[in-house]
Amino acid sequence: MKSGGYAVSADGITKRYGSAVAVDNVSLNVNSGAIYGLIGPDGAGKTTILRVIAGILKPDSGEAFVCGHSCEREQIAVKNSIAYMSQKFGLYPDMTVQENIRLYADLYGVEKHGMRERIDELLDFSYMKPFKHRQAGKLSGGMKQKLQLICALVHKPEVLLLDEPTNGVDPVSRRDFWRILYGLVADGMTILMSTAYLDEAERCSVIGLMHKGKIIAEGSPEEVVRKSGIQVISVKDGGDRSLVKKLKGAMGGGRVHAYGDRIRVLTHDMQTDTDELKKLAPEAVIEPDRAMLEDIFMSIGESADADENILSLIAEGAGGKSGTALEVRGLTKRFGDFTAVNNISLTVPYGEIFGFLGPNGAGKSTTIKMLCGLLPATSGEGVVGGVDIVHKPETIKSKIGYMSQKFSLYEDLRVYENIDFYGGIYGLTGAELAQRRDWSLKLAGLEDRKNLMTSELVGGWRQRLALACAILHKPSIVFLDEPTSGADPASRRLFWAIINELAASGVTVFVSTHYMEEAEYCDRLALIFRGDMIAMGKPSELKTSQMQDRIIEVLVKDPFSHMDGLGKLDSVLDVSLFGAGLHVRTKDTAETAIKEYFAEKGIRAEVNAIEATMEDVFVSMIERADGGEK
Amino acid sequence: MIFSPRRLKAMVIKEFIHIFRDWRSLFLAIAIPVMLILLFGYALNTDLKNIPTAVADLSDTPQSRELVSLFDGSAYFNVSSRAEGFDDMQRLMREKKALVGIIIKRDFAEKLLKGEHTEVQVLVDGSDANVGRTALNYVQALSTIYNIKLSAQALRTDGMNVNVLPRAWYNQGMVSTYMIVPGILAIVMAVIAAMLASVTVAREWETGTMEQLISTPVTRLELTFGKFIPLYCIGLADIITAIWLGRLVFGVPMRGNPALLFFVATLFLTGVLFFGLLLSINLKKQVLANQIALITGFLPTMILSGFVFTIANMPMPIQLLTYIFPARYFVSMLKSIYLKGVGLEIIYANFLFLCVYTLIMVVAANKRLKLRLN
Repeated sequence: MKSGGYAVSADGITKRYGSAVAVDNVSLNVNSGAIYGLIGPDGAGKTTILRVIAGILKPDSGEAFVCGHSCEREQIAVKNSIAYMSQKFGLYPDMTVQENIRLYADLYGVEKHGMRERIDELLDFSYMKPFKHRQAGKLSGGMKQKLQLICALVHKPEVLLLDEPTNGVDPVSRRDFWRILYGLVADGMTILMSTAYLDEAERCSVIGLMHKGKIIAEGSPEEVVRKSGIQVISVKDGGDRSLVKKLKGAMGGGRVHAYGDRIRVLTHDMQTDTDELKKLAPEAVIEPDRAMLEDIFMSIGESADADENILSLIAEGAGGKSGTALEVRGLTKRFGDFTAVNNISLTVPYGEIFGFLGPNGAGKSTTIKMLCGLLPATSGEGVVGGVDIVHKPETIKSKIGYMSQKFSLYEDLRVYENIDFYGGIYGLTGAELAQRRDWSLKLAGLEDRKNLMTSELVGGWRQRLALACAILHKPSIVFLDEPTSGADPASRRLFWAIINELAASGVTVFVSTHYMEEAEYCDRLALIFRGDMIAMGKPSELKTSQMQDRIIEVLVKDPFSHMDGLGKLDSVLDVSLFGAGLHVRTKDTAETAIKEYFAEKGIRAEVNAIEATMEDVFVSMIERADGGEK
Repeated sequence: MIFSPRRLKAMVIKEFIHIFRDWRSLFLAIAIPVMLILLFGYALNTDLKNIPTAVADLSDTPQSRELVSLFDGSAYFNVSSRAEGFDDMQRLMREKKALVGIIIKRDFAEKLLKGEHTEVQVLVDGSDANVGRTALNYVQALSTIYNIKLSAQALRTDGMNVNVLPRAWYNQGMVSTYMIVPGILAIVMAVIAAMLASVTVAREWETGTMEQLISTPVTRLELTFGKFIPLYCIGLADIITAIWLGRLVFGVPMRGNPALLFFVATLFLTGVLFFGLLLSINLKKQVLANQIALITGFLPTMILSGFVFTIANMPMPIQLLTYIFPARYFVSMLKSIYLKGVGLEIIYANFLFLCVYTLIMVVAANKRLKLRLN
């Protein structure tokens, strides 16, 4: 036994696919009862590590151990003590929630005595009981992930392996998911997970930052941030989107990035840089900020410098206009008895970035499909790009660009063949097609890889290529349905830089997202819930006028253990995990009560009233619309 | 633990759920044998009845009339027109008024009475080769009957009392639908294997459920047999449907031992289902596995099993080819059991071949299944 008492340990794991090294001599140890988070850019090797530990992938060299058992030689013992949740939905969509759970209970040989109680307990705990008899394929994204977690937990594993479990899941469901995870850890379970959400990574006891198949930093989130020596200056502008570009130009693209409603500048010399920033942006609020994993992540990103070249391409390749891009009234879509979209009215000018937010299954995609002319509306009328959507939906298609939620390029075609195909569809030929092809390859950053099979592309490149194909014909309105879902922070940021640039050259961009900081980059937002548009406005408006509650941030060790206690205080509406800490939502100021709560217990905690974040607004509005306050 | 009954049961239940929830596949699995029986039963019917026949009876004697009445009296020929001579006969056949022409020479009765050898000219329209060949066979059969009749009469005059009645064995009417049912059983099983078995593992790889499944303690045997058992049940239900339909609609009797039939069918079904699973396991792509199953499973069963085309009539290389397809052994055994009612002692060679094939498939499918990614 070489595991040295760790719940999970990996010893010199190497895995190659052909000539590409996915994981390069990685060793890691996870203490029993810890949450270990693997983070890193797409293709860094996170999934490969998890698969090796789950015993379903044989490494080329090295060995992994779970609870002292070799993942290679003692597969049965390993499989009985772990639960693995793959990145793709791995359950059977034609089977009901209960049938799926029963299947996994039987496969793991869960003792029959008390099994029913165990399943009921899990269903209760995850609020899934009402959906017991629903087929898994008909669940929303968040519920699917919870079901997969229940199936993984049914045999009380000692180690839980999760591969990006919250991809494409809305903030409300994500909070719920984490509440369950914390409960498991409190019961002594060990969790090893990968995640693309860095606020989730902040909650882990240990994180491993992977890059090109190696772990380049490891430790608690605070340690990793501290060791990096990176300091951050936060710049809050008045909504001037061009400021990012200006700062990038002046200070170097790699260290300046937008995050939510702020611009963050990475620095090793706080004073000099602050002075320079004050000169560059005299209007803005400039202050030092706590460095986050997000900043560390950006500091290793290499694609960031490519920004400028790519962005300059947009202006020459966009088909921007001015005036009203889109105007719809009373747009409604029913599927049988079910109203997917109810009476939505919008007026959007050219050059605006318009965001759709909402839980999984709220009707965002349906709305986008109706606006694109892909799906006929049940009722309602409107004009998109000067074309009537009821009578001439076919004509709309040539005026718009659409990027669907699923990757829609042909995986068995080469990169340039996909571009040529879409060019052909939009009627481009000869010199024009050649010129647009070059443009697309540059935009996608694939000039040197145009002969690559599309199936070989990973993460950010796929999304950029899909976008390039969607805007080949210079549309003046672009619809992007969750374009950044599952992409790593660096690719997402580059993607948003492209969106900004498109909008700046007069193209209207409709975009849906589950990343709340991305919502901040939109000019206006619509919050959709159960087919209704429950709020619309600028991000700043939503955060102030629409937000009736106050948010108090609590930074404390082991935040999960205080959620119940804080929730019982008077005037506290809701307590939720936020990054590494808690956000407490209150009607009036409960700051004193919260401080007293921690003082009584003799626990050190930072308690501050803060401006609500987009996520707080989102959750608060959804709950209000749901009528489910506390 | 290599095998747990509980996990196997869980897999079986899961597979049954997939089959019952996917009602289109289920419907096809049940409708295909019914359709095949009806289609083949009616369309592949190579029996000819009431063939329009023209007669030029130049002899016009009691003997010649007896010969003609033998044709007219059979269910196969219908003497619909009379020709005056050879030219007239040619006209009738060219106009398709007759498919068969019989020319009886002027000296027919004369020679017959003298006990001399005589000939009757029979013309068959060969433009439809199948019809022509069948008609020719009937003509030959009838002339044999007539010859035997004559010989018998000759013997009787010598005081012998021999009553000769020619009979085709096992399939007295030589009804081709009798051959259909055993053949269809083989085809139905090949179709199920191609349609359901060949996609089932590949689908799990394509949708990503396999990655989750192989992270559990499930073993290879549980996985393959968990998929096999529900398909076997459907195959069995199809066999019963086919036998029952064959009996009800075409009156095809089942003469053999039902237990033996069941046993042999189980053996074949197991073989072809595991063949389908093997394809699915190796190819990991539903469409590809399905296509290959159709080409390597269904087509040979149809063409090389001796069901539609007689193996003895095939060129030698093709005949040799039939030996590598299990359908040959199965169809041959089925015909024996079904129509002749023979026992295992007669067909043991075929039986052994089938056993070997099935064993190879079960072992290969389990060996090839890797509970790993890559």
